[in-house]
Amino acid sequence: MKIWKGFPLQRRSWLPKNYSMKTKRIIDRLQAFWFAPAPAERLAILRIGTGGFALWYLLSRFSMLRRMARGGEAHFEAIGLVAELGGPIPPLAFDAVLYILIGLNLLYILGWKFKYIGPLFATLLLLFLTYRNSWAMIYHNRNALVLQVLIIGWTTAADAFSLDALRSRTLKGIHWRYGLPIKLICVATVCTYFVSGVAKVAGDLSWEWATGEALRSQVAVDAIRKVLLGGELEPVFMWIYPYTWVFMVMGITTLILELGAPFALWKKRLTWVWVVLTWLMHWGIFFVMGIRFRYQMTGLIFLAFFDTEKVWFGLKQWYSKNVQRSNRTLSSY
Amino acid sequence: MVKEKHLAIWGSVLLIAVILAPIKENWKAKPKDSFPFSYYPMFSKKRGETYGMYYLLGVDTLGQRHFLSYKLAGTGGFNQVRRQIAKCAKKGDGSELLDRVEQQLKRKKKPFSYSLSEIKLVKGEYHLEHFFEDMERLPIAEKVMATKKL
Repeated sequence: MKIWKGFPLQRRSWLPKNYSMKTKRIIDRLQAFWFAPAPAERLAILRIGTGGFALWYLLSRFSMLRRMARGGEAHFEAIGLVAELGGPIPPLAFDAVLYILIGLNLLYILGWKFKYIGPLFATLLLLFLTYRNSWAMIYHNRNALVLQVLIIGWTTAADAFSLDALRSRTLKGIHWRYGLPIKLICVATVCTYFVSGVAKVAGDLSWEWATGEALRSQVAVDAIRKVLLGGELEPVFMWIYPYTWVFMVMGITTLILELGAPFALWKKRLTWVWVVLTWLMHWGIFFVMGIRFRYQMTGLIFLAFFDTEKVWFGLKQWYSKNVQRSNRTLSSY
Repeated sequence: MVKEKHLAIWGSVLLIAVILAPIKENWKAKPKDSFPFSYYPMFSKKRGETYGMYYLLGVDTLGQRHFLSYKLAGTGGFNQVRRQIAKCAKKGDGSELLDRVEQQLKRKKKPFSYSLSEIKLVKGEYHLEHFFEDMERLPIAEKVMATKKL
């Protein structure tokens, strides 16, 4: 067995002094994955995307959130980081937090003093949404948003497309500091899908989930709840309900996409396939059950998987070409 | 630089571990969900042929049954209010809930096309196949938790 001595970047005290070439290859591959450099613009686009969605959520739910805070103690069950709260905070204090959060959200998007605003906004958003989920029901459709903001908030995500970048006027270029948070967001995203897949097969239903019968009754329960509580049935659900095989296809696809999520990071093409199918899965959930996972349906959750800055640079190039062309036309006259 | 990379690696490992940690809830006798680190229990529970739940029922002057909207009972999302209704029923606070519903009905800008004479908080058991395949909207069993004449 070949022995590889030493490591080019740093001493690894946690590894044996002489480790094999195989171990080295694994470490090199992991290093190449985690520390792959990325342009500052890609991370900045994620900052704007996550911030934009969070702001939309806070503004569109503004009245509902304020009403909820005045809902009384009866339904309050503190969870997660706010579990120590004995009861709901006074409504006026809630309003103040909501206003501060919206202010911080704006500064997060604009990228002003991001070193302080980023972590502050990420922490406050986490606490706020944990508090919002402490009223009898934990919603899972904001988990990804909070996780992504938590990652972005603690990084140098305002080195481009921001007020900080305008002030510093230095070209930040490509660095692993921008690449690592993006990779972490991708890994965190596939991990959440994986956890969701494990819950399905580890639960009462186990692999029955793939037969279609179980998923059919799950969807039926959701539909009956809607009818009995004065809601509307989704027409697509009524069309497909008699056909168990449709639910079987949906069940198998869901399990493959969720349990196989970590493999999506293996190859670029696999990532594309996984993202497109998972995105379609969320639209399928919407059409069959009427559940809107807006962060997923808009595709914002998957932004980190793509070189989004290329769109920006492409547009910039196209714009400058057009300007040059029109200038040339003008000067020819 | 090296220190920064170490910090980044350990931070990442910690975050991934925290995201994956809720998986263990699947094997607990009393699993507990949380936010934002969840074990995503939705759609993992086994459902039978029948399903029972608490809901609001309005009875009009002709004796016709009408399912009342969850929006009359509380604020928040659909599932949040559904749970609040169930909690009220289990705690025996049905009458208070119906008082709130009555107030909301009075405030309603668009009145119903029928005139309600009574509102109820009930627990009904329905057969799923009959409900969706045969359009049978009557429960196989129903228990009135609270009632209020209007």
